[in-house]
Amino acid sequence: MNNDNSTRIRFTYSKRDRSCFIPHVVIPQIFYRAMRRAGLKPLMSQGFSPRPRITLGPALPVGIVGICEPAEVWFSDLVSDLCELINPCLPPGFMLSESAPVEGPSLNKQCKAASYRIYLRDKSKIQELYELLMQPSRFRDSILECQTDTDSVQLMVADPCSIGPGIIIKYLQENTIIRKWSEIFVVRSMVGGWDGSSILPLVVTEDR
Amino acid sequence: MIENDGEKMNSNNCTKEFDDTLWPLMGDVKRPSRYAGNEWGPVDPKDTDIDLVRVCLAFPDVYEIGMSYVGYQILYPLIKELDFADVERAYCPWVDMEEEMKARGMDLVSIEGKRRLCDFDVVGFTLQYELTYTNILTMLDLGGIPLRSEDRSEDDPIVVAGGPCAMTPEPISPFIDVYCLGDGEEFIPSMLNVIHSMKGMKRQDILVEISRIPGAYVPVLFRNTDHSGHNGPFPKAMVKDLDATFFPEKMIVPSAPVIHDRIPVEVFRGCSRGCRFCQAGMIYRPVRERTPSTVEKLIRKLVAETGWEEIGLVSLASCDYSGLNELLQRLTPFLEENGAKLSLPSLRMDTFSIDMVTNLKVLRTSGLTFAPEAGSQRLRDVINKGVTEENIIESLDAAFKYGWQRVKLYFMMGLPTETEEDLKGICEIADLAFRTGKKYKRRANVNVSVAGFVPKAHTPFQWEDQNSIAELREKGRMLKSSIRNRHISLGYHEPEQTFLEGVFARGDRTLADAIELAWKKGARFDGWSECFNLQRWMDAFDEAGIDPKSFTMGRPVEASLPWEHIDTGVTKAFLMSERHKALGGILTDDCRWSSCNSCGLQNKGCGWVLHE
Repeated sequence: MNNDNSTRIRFTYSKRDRSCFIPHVVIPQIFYRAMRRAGLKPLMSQGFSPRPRITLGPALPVGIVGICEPAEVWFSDLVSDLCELINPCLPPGFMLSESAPVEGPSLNKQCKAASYRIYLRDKSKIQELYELLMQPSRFRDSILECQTDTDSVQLMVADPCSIGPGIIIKYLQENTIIRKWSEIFVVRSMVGGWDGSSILPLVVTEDR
Repeated sequence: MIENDGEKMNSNNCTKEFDDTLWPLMGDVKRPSRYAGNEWGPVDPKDTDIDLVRVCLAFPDVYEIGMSYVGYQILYPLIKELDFADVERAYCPWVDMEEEMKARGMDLVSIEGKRRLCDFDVVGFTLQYELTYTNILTMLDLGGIPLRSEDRSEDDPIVVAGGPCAMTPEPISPFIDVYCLGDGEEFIPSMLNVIHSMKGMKRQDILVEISRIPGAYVPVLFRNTDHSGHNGPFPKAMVKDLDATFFPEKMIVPSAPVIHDRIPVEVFRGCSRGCRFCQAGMIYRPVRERTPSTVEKLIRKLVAETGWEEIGLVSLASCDYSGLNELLQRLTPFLEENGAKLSLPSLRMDTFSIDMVTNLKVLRTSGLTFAPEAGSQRLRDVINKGVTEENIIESLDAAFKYGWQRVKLYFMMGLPTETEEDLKGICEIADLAFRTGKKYKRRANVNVSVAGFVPKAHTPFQWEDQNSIAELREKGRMLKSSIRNRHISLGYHEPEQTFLEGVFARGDRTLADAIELAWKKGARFDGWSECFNLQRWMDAFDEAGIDPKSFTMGRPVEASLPWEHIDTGVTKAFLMSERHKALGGILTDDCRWSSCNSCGLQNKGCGWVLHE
């Protein structure tokens, strides 16, 4: 329990198919309504225009698939099976995977790394994409790891709150690897902590 | 390490997004959330082998506007509950998406089942606003349906249109197979029943059978000498007991941001105020209310089912709901506990009272909207807007005193008998609002919106002259320049759009050619100022040999009108009498709380008539 008599629960969710085009800014409202349908009542903020206390992790631009995105919600009491309660009440394209109570630093402060997979419709350009990412750029120093196979480039980037996928895609467009949206497909597989060699999940449940 | 996430990736199979044919287009257009769908609600297509009548509810505007329309929230579950039918939706793609779709040869499909519009049995449009007509053509075209009724084959869907503009059907009647006049709750199931039982039979025979249903108007049969008895008048469909009439207990909750993002609950239909400019007030008569206990039950169910945190009480004049106080009393504890809020659109300044306001905690308190409509008592009396100076002062006072920070005020310019004095009155009321707000130390932002008056069919002003584009522009500019206070913002509707609206509002069948021509020239979303182009329309009118001003001009009362074959229940005699009283500045009382004014509905099922 926190000082103000509330329980803070962190959860991870995926954002798939056409729901990827729902703007990040309305996602808290989507979770709030799902919670209401499930009979849950998140705590509300104080002030003139109370809002549900739901915080999201680093923004995911539209059009990018999110597999393990973090978020937090505050309740007055512990809700131990948040995913099982909320999932049947979510609209298509959204699903919770894990949840656990947390304390400590804010969510954004704990988001140290994000892993991506970048697919190109034109597979012959994958090697070129890999080499471009390895060249000096304004975010080169934040690339923690980069690998490639025939289908995609897998990338791990530090500081996801400042360096989002939008910056990377813009860079690719500037260097004419891609011209239009239809040529690329990006998945953010995880946002997590970083221990120097691996990306760490932000939600740790007893099963792990 | 990256390998772990690789496993997750493969098992999650990302190619389904990459293979979605709409995916690349969505990334390249404005506001892609319009095309995302993925709502919460009763949207799954029925999984059955039975031959269902497939209905597509097609809204001729963008998703975020269509999703805010209560009519489809009612009709959708209504049709879903019929065991012989299923329902899906489609919205009009924005101009950029239309272009992308055309470039790739993609058809317009429904959101739920991705079914082409031409593969439905029925495609229904709602005619909410005249400037959406070109969007209907876009949707028919992209959906693979011939634009003209006469060109449709046995395999093509039956194209139906309802909503308020169906009462003036002629401008688009060559494109529509069946009009639903009035209330849809009984008409639609009857019509679908006919289509279901006549499956496989000839299209013409089906249309003849549908034309027998009360509320139907089938243009192709009108005055067609092969089919006697189709000369009209065509009476509207009317549900008598709204309390007993279907209202859904499930609704579609959008994931994408939309204009009105709340549960719409219709508390009553119709209006007895008799404002002379108002078409809705005439065509939706008589007033039919839902009881507070029914509304309460609906709200409780819908809040639990949808999870929406706001409820809008929908009607033509929310404070006129006779059960409002009782409803607020019943609901307040539930809403407080649940954390849901009520919003009351369509307030009237004569019934907005302090009683209502004391239920403050459950009402949204950002801004209030009022519609004084005219700037002087004299002109308000002409239009029979029964709002006095005192009402205005008191309601503004109550609004600010009890915590509202902003007000929005709606007015019209170009009303019959209007003088400069009347227009100046608009600025005076705006100023009064600001001073009242400041008295209570509020932010007192006053937002004034002035619309050019469009005389509407089926109203006492249906014979009036509409102000020209130049006249409206001059008035609008004069009003805008008269506001010196930076806390008051005044905007007016684009007079060119007002002109086009006026052409369609009192138009006839000859306009259809011009609409098709304008559409072919690229006219889309004419209600949106960023898309509107008057020259394109003037070229189309010219090519079609039409003088658009002939429709916005005043006409003599003896003239035959291109909508008089549509019977709203209100008599011509009543409209003429009201017009006569208007010119004399004589008021007509609200017939619910005084005596019957004999509008015509007293013989057609109005439940408010007191028999002496």
